[in-house]
Amino acid sequence: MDQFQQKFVEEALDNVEMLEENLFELERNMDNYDPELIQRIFRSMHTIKGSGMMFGFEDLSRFTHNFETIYDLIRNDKLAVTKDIVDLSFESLDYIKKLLDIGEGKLTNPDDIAQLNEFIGRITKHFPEGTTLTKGRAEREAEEKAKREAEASQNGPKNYLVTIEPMEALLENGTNPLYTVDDLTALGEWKTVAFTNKVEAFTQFKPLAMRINWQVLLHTEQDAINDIKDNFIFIEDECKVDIAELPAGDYIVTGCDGKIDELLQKAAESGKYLTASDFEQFKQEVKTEVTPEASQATTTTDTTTQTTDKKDNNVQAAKKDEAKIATMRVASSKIDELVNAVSELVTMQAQLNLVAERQGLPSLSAIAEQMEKTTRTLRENAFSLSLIPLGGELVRFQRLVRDLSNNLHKQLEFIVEGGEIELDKNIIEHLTDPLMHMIRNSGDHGIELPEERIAKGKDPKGTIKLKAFYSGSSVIIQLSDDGKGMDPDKIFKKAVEKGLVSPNAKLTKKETLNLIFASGFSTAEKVSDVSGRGVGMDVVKSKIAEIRGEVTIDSEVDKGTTFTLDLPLTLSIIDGLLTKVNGEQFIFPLSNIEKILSPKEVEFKNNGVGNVFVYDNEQIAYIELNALFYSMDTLMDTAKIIMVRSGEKRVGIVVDQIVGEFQIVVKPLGKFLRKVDMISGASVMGDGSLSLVIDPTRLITYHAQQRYRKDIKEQNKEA
Amino acid sequence: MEETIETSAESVTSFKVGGEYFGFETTKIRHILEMTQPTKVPLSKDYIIGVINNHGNMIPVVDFRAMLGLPTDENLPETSIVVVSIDGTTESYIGFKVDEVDEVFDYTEQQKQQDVVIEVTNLVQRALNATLHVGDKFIYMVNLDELAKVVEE
Repeated sequence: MDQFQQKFVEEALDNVEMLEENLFELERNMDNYDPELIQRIFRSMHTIKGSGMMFGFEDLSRFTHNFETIYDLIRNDKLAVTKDIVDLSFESLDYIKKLLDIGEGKLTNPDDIAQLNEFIGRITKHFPEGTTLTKGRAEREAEEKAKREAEASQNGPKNYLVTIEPMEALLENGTNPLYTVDDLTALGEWKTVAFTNKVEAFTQFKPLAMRINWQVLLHTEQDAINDIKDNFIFIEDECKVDIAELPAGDYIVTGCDGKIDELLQKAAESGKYLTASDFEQFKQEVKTEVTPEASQATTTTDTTTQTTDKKDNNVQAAKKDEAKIATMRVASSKIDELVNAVSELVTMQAQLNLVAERQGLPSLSAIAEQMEKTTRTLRENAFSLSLIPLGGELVRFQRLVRDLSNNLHKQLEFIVEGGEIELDKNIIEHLTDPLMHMIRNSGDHGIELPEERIAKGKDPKGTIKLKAFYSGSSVIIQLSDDGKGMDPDKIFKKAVEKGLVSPNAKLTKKETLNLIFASGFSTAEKVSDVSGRGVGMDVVKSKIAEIRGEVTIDSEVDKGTTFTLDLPLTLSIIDGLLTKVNGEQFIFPLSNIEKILSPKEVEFKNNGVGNVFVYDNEQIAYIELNALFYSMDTLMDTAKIIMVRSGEKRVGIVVDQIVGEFQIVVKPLGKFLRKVDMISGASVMGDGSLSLVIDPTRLITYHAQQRYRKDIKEQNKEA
Repeated sequence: MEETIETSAESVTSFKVGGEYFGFETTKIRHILEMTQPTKVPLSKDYIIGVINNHGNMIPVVDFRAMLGLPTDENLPETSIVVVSIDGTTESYIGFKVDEVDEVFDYTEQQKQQDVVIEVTNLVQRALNATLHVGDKFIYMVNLDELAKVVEE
């Protein structure tokens, strides 16, 4: 695939996404949709078709052409929107995605071609009798035009009021709006009025900023709405155009004794656009007698210009359009490179600071300080670049929920709150699969069938809700459903069956619910094709842990289940607490730390299960890093206890010394040290030395497993 | 691996550990670094002596001596770290501490003999697949993919 084709595919995928969103909207408002929506759907398809043809995606183009015809029929009221059509549209969308995926854009396998033809056949089945399908675009358009003309001849002359509001940046693209106005006036008799009230006073005059708006009063012999629209095809995005049909009458030719000019002049002076109702009123006032013959007369060319320096509220609308153009597409690999380079820079900055401090040269210190400011700005900017809103992924979830309701014969609704929340793109990439899985679970196992729900006195329609919000330095995503919830007794029984827990174990409700995260646990009583394929919540948990996030669960029988994901904002830079153990440097993420205690403040004891200390009347287990890492004893007199929270648990971690707080760049250790998972990476310190970053959650898990193994060994010895 | 060796003359970088010569495919080598003290990663394998920072990438370093089952020696000026990339990604960078880097040369098919190791007595032997005769030297060719598997497992 060459670079142009690649670009096309990228853009087509954007269009597909837009199409998908619009289809959702259409589905929601099937009986009462906005005609503009159909127009938007049609336009997306048309773009895919047209540019597909240009870049050699012929099969795609042929397919989309037929798909598009459906919406052409709908927009011309020849076909009604039905569930069948919406379903078919979603299916077609998937097929378009598939066609976009094939390298050179042409199907070669005969089976695939047969499939394409079969699919096209299914689409054309929906066309009403007598619709000719295989016609090319030109032919069809000629036909439409003929039809329009036929209709127009019945409808007779028409009057239009076209309001043209170019964007401020229009001139920068080399577009001359006057040509557009000229082309428009070629359609019939006309009058124009220019609104110059937004042009600034001469001293502040910006020659490159487009500030003039026009209204064109057009009289045509027949329906010309499409011709008028065609005029704006090339500057669609750069100006706001409004076309209003005016009440029948001749405003121009006879000029109503020049009174029309007065009306236009007044509008220009006041800076207020004319509306159809103005003309209604005008007609009343002058009570013009209009005869069709009179419209053959000559035209008046009177462009009224009058300068006032009143600023207008339209400026705001124009600014909004600008923002759209002000974004650009960048390959994500470039951003990764930038972020890497900036991370490197942050590290070197720390080194520079250290050298400056040691040298004691005032001039060097000054430069180091200046540079630090710039580095910080650069870092913040670079990192904000890699943040993308969660909303981008939501269409996929919506689609999933839709497909689930169809496949499972359940009524599901998907509600999103906080789609604007931004996360590091690497986090979002890792998040999509686990979330898909969880949504699938909620739909499959959580929400009951409509009959069941009615029997329970619930709304037959089940709701799956995704809510995202910021909380401190993390982002919380809650996924909840109002389904049947999870029964702790059932879970416990199942876990015992699977040998995951001893039948005598006494667990709290939370602990029981957490069993679903154990590997090999699946609550589905029947394995359906939607979920319950063995990979279960344990995969979800480990995927989330990969991005340093945590999952917790809460569930009430018959009320529903809520999963809460606690995620870091960004992966690569963290605030950390630097500590020393046996002379080596270790960093704890500050976000996990609750408190730092001195061993003198607490009382150590053995509670029969293991070593704990008592703090706040709570028995807290602790891990001595010296013992765990180096099989050495800790000098408790000078040691410190870092209290970390992992999910529901608080655990103390004993270190030799605490050095201080640092902002650090975490670098992964590569695949050869992946097994040492309680160390999530390393960081280069200001003096060039390395310190290892601890993942407290994994450390605690590792420690617990170790202890468990030791217990078993001892039990075996006794036996 | 056999096939890649048989194609034509290929470049080998040889190095010395414990008096014996070993060789890596030159195309897999990314850096040859002076010995610096790595930062020990607790709970990792004994022969992984730690990680070093190379242009912001963390590279685990393996003591080739320890993998051969030899006692560790003190670092000399010739002691080097040979950094290789197993599959081209930075994720798969790994450094080998060796006594001395010897030379880079092309070898031909005639110089190659099937490996003569009979009994596997150390970790490296699992990854040896051929021996080269160059002048009066015997060089054990190390299959890096195999060696990486040993380290990773």
